[in-house]
Amino acid sequence: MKKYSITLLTIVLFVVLGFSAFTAAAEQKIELKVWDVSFNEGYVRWWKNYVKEFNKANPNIEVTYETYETEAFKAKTAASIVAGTMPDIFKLNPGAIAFKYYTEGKVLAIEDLYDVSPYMPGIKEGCSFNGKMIFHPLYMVPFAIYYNKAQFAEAGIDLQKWADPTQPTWDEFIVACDKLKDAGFTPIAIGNASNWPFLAWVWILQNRFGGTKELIDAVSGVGSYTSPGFIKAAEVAQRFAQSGYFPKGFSSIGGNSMYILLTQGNGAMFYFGTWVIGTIKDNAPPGFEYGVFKFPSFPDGNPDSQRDIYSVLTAFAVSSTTKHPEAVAKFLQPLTTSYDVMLSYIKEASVIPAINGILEMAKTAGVDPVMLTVAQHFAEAKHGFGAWDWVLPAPVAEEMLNMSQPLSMGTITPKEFCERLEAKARQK
Amino acid sequence: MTISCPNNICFVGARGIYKYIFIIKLNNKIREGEAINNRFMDRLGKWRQFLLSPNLVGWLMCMPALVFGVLFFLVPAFVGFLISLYDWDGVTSMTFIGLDNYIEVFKIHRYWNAMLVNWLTFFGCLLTQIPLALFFAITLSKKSPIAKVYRSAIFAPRMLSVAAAGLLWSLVFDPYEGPLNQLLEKIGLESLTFSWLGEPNTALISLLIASSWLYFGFHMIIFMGGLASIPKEYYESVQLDTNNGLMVLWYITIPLLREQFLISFVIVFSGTFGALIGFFSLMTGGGPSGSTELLGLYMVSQAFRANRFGYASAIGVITFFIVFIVLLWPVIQTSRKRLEY
Amino acid sequence: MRKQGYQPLRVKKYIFRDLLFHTFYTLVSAATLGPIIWIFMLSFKTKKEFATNPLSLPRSFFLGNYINAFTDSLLTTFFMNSIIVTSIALALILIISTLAGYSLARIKFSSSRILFMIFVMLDGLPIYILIIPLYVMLNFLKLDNYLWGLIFTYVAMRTGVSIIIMRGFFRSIPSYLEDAAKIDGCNLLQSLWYIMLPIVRPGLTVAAIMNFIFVWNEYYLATILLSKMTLFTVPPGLSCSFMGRYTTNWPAMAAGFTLTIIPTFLVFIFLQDKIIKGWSTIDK
Repeated sequence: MKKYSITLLTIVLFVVLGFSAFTAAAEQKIELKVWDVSFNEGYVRWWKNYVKEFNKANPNIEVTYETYETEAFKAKTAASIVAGTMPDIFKLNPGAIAFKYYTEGKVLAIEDLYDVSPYMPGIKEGCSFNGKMIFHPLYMVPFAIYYNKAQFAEAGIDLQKWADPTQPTWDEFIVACDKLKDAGFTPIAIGNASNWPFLAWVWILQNRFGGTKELIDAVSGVGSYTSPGFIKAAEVAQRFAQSGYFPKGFSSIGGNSMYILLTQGNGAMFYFGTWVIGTIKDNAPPGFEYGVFKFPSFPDGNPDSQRDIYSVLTAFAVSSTTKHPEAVAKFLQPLTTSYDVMLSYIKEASVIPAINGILEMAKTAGVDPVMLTVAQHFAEAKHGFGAWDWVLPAPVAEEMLNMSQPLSMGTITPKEFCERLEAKARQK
Repeated sequence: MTISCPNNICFVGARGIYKYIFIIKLNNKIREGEAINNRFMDRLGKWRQFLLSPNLVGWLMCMPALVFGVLFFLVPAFVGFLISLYDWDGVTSMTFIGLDNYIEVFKIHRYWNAMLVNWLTFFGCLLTQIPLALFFAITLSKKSPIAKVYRSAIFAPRMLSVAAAGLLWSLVFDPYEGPLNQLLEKIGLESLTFSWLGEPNTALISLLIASSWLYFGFHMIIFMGGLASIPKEYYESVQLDTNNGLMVLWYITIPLLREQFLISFVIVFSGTFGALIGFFSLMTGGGPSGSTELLGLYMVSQAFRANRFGYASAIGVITFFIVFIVLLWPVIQTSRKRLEY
Repeated sequence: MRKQGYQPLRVKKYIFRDLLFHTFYTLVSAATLGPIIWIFMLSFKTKKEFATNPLSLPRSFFLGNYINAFTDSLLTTFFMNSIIVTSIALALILIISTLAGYSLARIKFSSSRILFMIFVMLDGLPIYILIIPLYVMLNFLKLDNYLWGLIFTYVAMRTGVSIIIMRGFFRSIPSYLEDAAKIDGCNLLQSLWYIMLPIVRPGLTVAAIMNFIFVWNEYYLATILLSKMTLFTVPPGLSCSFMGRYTTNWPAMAAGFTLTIIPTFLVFIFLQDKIIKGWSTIDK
């Protein structure tokens, strides 16, 4: 009896499936597919809303917005690029790898699709190849140090006592860390399970010592990863990690647990991007107050880059296999031209879009003041740089990610770190 | 009846002897029948011989499995093998480099570390899961409703998806909020409150515990199934001679479960080199300083982060050969000795 | 194995032993079942509760997660797809592997060992090297727009292990049964259907449970090989809706997990009895 019912079920399902296949082919609408990686709920909610509104306003276009988790997203995009079935719009981070997509003809340049003048020049440069803007910048997430006001007060740290209240020097910073440690708090909230949080410290330190030029030279092969700025950065970072300021077992803390550290009081300072703001809103216990300051400066470091900011830049790429480039342009354009759209973007998703004049507008529109402060930092910076795991060529980036935990735990020396990067880059 | 036991303590009860004689007579009859058949077959051509022989039926019955396996698995695998002979990053064109990928793999220290981690994981899983599963299968194979509840409870972890289990155990091992450390503190063993997943020394052991919890229920089911297939007569005929539970276990049950041991072994082995990757990746992503980096994890990171598909395929091919060779040995061994009753 | 003896002493001894057993098993069950109950509890918490204290009991039964699970994601579609994929794949796998397992175990033909080696090989392949070629092939065959691509891939993946299991169970049956059937006049298929299958029911159930769990919970291949979100099964659907790069809505996912476990649980309870039924039905 059971076997018969299963056969029956199978036949029924086959028939249903067959029919559903036919109905799918019968639609006449223009279909656009968007693949993205969701990083917090506000962001996804905003996008889903935007897509809904867009679909309503354009009845002949149907946009599907899908989000995936990072590992699967990488595999999925890689597979679809090989097979040639890329979605019309998909997310990627501009860098060595991304520009290869353009040179191999897998993505179109957005400059060919619509007007790109509203973008901030620095961002335009980050998304351009040979002067032509290829990718549509989605957002920038500048990094800064967020701190727990209550714990700072209890440890007796007063920002006003610093030479510059918005940015301590490294020595002032270490003094603050020690004070927190003495007061029984964990100074730094960090979770290095995904390897890059600790590396972010290395990157910003290299910037403070060597500047962005050193980085660009190393990547392009003119310079080297063993330049003094790199080595000093690795040294300082390693010494810092070994000073007991990090939480216990930080190499295994990742994902959600990272944020809980700050809001639970298990870490007083958090060097992270503006996503934190949205997460704190969602997760913090009532009465949690926090502030922000820039990454510390080094009076004896590179004079040009003490105010530089590390910022993640994420962009959308338009695949070259898209059948409806005009529809794509129609979808993406309001993101550059409509200020209302932009403002709601900042508020809901707590990220900063890269349009000229958005900061002034944001000030008057009641955006979160901490967010504004960070945006201000970004505007004051001379240079910005992106995540090295996108800027560096893929094999070197992977090697670097792999060395993050050993470096932070002291099992490899800073010199070894740089030398291995150099060896990997010059391979072949 | 003959039981292929290591020592010659064969429990032959009275009923056994009668069965033995019956079987001998039966086998003779069948062989006679086959002999007649064979003479008939000799006169046919080779093709016809094949069609009428058991060979054809055997092939036919295996055909669907072969079709699926070959088409959807072996063909892409072969393409994967071809890719390992090139240097390819997924976007630009492929450049043929022959066996250079393989040479590089064998030179890299990280590869051997992954290999070591994999073998350690395998032995750890084997030695914890199989005895536990056997123990529970034997003691819980009654029909009482309570036993059913216990069995369901023990099998329950298997029903979770890997993502759920990953979340669960990362929270259990959490150095601050996790119940493990909180429990240890309450007992007073504060010195043992490591950060289980954060230190290279303890990460692998913690993951072994977590994966044992997750998977041993399934091996228990396999053994239960095997135990159910053992005819009651064996135990009854044994009871006439001896009452010692352990002896029964060692000389009757375990040899008769030989096939089930093989199945479990294969599953644990192919799982450690294959499916466990998802769980490990979710929990530690390769662990503090590569202490939990399985071969499969190393392969995935090379493929999708370093964008070196040729190199990753080479790792995959080597892993496959290792699995294949290791799995062949017990299979061939048990193929020879059939469980004749 | 009870020796007849003085009853009073024996009764006391067995009560103590039973008590010991029961406490032991209860502890073990608590260790295995406890975390799952915790996930169940988690699905009733709000995100804030989870962030502040992940391990406590929920303050009240907050049904918002379950509502979210259905509104924020296409959970009913995902369930439907999962049911379709799992039932078809399971049926195919069981039929195919029983046939092949039986032929490899019982029929003495010359290529049986080679064929078995091929199936062992199938089991040993790590799927990660063949994801990209597989995807390209499915795309070429136009199968990635339907669930069939995924179903066939699962069948291909699991036949290896299932054949090993079925063959093992077939081999552990004494051959005189089959010989008796042959004398009675059954041909091959009849003896398979009427005699062997009921005996290997434990093996069949084991294979069924294992494959059901695998296919139902499989995440990686499903995410990559399915091109449309409307085709997703439950695991990719859940992670796609609730899992982000930096934050994940764990209580909502816990609601999804609980909903996912229920069918598995039902299947297991239903099939559990079949494993224990041994010789009693065959001794005729």
